[in-house]
Amino acid sequence: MGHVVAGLVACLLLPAYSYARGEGGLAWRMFSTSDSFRLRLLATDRTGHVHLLNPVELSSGVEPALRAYLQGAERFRSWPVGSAFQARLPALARLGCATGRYASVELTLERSPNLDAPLQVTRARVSCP
Amino acid sequence: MVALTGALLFALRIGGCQANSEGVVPNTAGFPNAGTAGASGGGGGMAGTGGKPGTSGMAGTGGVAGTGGVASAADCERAAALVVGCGPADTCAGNSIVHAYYCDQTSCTGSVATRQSICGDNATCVKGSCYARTVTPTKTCEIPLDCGLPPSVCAGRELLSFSDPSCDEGQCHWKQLLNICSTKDFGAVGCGSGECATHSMQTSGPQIGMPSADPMQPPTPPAAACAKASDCSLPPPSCFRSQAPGNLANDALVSYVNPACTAGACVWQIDLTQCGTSCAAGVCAADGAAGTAP
Repeated sequence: MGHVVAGLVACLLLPAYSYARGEGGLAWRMFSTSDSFRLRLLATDRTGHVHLLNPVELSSGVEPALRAYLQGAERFRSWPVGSAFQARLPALARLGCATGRYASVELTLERSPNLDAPLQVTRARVSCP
Repeated sequence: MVALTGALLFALRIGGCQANSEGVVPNTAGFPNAGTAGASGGGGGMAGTGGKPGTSGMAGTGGVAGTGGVASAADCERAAALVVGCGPADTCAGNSIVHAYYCDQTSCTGSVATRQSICGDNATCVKGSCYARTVTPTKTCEIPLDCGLPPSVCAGRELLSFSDPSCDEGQCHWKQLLNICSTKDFGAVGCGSGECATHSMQTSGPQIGMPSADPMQPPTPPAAACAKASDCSLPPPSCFRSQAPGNLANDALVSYVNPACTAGACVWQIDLTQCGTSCAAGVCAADGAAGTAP
């Protein structure tokens, strides 16, 4: 009986709770999709020149787990973190201000929820202090 | 009951596989953020000059074997095949790295077993690490943005990335960033195929961890059917508050731009423009600018 209860909790209740919260993380569905993403980081300096920066330059200041996924994010990656980047896009763009003497930073996230879906483009723009 | 549970689980997995991942925020409590502690045992060998990853993690100097190189030939054979273990600093022999590991991985002293790995044609061995020769990027240009970003390459155990291109006399040059793969944060064990190879690619060992959950996503515009892009009117602007490092609120104005008609449905690009202070009802409060699409 104990095994059945454990099975119900692990296989049904936890995933259902996770779906109910709207994330699905405990349903482990992030590994059952082909979500892919790419980041493009552009910084404009005080003289108006535009710099194409590697997203890995944002590494300082982000949580370690997210930092790892910035490496190589300048190309499309099928890592299950596209929505995590999307939720943090303005904050990440603001971190770009610390990478040089820039007047503004633009960070673009391109996501494809699956292989057939059109690209979803989200762009964050911040002015640097 | 068990059969019922299995059937429901199967249905759940099918649903998960077919589900569109829109709106899914990965991770959550099941994947600890800092789950990499001890993954590579600290920073030894980070810059390619010190010992190899795992040196401090495997310490155990109070082991039972004592010192004096009493390890057997079999121990040395096993040590020579190690990827992570304790040993003296790697060195170079020609264009090859000489990896050295103590035969006795318990006491981390005594006799040493070695193994060589060739750096390859596009890399050179310096102080026990392979570094990519930066002849890789050769590209002509008129302006820096023509250059793009070349793919990252492995430089020994670390990852060499390229950034901020400049165009000098028609040739691209990039700033080179050496990313340390062998850190606790990344939980990586080295570099392979142009990316840090993490423990999560293995069947055992610490996982790299997933980003913490963040249920707040930029608001999605209402669904709209279309035959052509001009059928797609711009949804009104709205506000988005994301969490910045340090839990500082980060209000942004959300605009929907560049409409397109894809498979009979309107699709917009989302622009998030930082507000000076706060955003309410599609307007930045700081400057009072109306939230109109650029």
